[in-house]
Amino acid sequence: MENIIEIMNVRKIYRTYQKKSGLKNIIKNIIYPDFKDFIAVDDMSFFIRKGDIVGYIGPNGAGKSTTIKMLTGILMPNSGMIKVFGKDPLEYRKENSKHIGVVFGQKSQLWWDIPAIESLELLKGIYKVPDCDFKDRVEKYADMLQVKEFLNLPVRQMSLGQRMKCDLIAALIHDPSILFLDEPTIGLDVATKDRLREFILELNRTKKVTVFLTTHDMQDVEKLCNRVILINHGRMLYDGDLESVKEKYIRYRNLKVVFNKTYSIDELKFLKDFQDLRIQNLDDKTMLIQYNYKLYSVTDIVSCLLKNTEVADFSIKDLEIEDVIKEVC
Amino acid sequence: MYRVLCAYLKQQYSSLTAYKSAFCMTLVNVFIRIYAYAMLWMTLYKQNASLFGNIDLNQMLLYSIFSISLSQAFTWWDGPHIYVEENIKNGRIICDLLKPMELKTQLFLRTLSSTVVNLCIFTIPSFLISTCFFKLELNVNIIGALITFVLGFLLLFSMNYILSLICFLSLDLEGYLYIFHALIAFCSGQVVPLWFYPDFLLGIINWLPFKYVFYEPLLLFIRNGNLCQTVCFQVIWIFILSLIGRFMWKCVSKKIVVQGG
Repeated sequence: MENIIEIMNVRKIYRTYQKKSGLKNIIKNIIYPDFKDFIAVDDMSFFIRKGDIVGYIGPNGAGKSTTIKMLTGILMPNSGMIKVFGKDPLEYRKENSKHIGVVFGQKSQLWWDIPAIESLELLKGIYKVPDCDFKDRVEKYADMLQVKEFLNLPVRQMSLGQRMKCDLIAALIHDPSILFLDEPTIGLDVATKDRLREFILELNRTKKVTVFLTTHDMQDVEKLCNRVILINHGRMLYDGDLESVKEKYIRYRNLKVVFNKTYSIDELKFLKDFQDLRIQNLDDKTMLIQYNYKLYSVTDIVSCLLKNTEVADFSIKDLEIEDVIKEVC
Repeated sequence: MYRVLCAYLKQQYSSLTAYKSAFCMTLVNVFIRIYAYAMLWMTLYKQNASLFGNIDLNQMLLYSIFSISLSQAFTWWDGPHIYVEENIKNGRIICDLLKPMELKTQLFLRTLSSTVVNLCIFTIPSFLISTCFFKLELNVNIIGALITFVLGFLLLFSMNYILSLICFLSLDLEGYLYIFHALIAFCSGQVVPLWFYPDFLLGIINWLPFKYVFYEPLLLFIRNGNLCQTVCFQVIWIFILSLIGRFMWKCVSKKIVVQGG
């Protein structure tokens, strides 16, 4: 299958102004400003095939959004080569933008004070979408995302979930081949997240839209992505499928236990038979037990705890992106 | 392009009238300013009419009233540069840059739509009501004024666009805005007609583009200007500023910073 995105040895450096505090530094800050170089993306290379759904994951400040900004032709890399549709996205920004859709979880492209449908109509004009296509797409996507009745509402009166769904429709109004999603599920409830994920999967299945997704939600990655690229400090740590990264690097799962009374870690000595177990106090009555799920099952630990302590509640915590990265590092 | 302009017009109309009380208060503010300036000029005329040379009270009031009404259409204090500054600060400028249309074209269509909407809902009604209220004789050069006002709008947009591009480098326009707004207010003849200024100051102002935004078009409006000369200077200034804008965009587009993750 053809490569729709290619990036080779890309590096992006931000120059940031370091302001020194204190009265004596007021003049110094103006005359001799101190700048510091910060490497946001370093020696990044990967390619993405048409129809892929790629999860581009990493902790805050890892360089995810910077990569999206370079891929969309907004930022110029300091070195390296980027090709989107076989062209330099910076040079061909205007042309490439007709074929890409972008959703930023924290930046809406809809106008705040006017109904969403009017923003969509403006985009229709800018992207030169024929009237019949526009009508079909709005109707179809609004139906799928269940926002038909909200399209005439000013954006300021919408909930975050409704706004995000409308933003997704706005990004798809010109029928793009690539969809860049920068933390699209941030702050959304479980039901809305599920609907968005189903919608993205449907879009990928029916229209072969390539999806490049950044997220902090492991559920997004598990339910959507057939490939993950893991980055930290601007560098790539892993590129492959999610199962392999888990298989290869993840040995632990988190078991959160709430007791009826306060226990010290020493009082849980009976768990010493379980090898490779980490116990951490979260508060008076809550403990986090990290266990190696490859060596034993959670039921073994829970039954041992129920036998020896007064357990009020327990839950298995989802794997966080940060945990995955910690393990990979 | 026509379809986009229509969509922008609709969007700007909805935005400007989204908050009904704010819209009403803006209209009230225009009338208060018109009334205050009209009273000021009427008092000065009563004191010493010779100060105004060959400009009679009727022309003076037409100049002043239309200047205030027109500035509400041009909204030079809240132009595309303010929109760009806000969007650069909150990082939303990326949404504009990702559209298959040059940023300048988007800003131009947005500003043009906002000016047309303001013209219809503020400028024309406030001017007509005020001329009736002060019983003014509408002895004006509509054609000449129309041509030079359109060129004045293009000239103002060219200046605002350069300020927008400066914002990409400075990330904040506060200091620049103080200077720019002072220059527009005092060198364009929008507040005080330039014939009151001393010769040495006029000598400087004549070398600047600001007077071609308000002063010269308003002079033509009250049948006192020179159409050919004004149009020539306006076109020259628009050409020079457009070249500067084009050169700046080439430099700026490689140094764009989008704030926030």
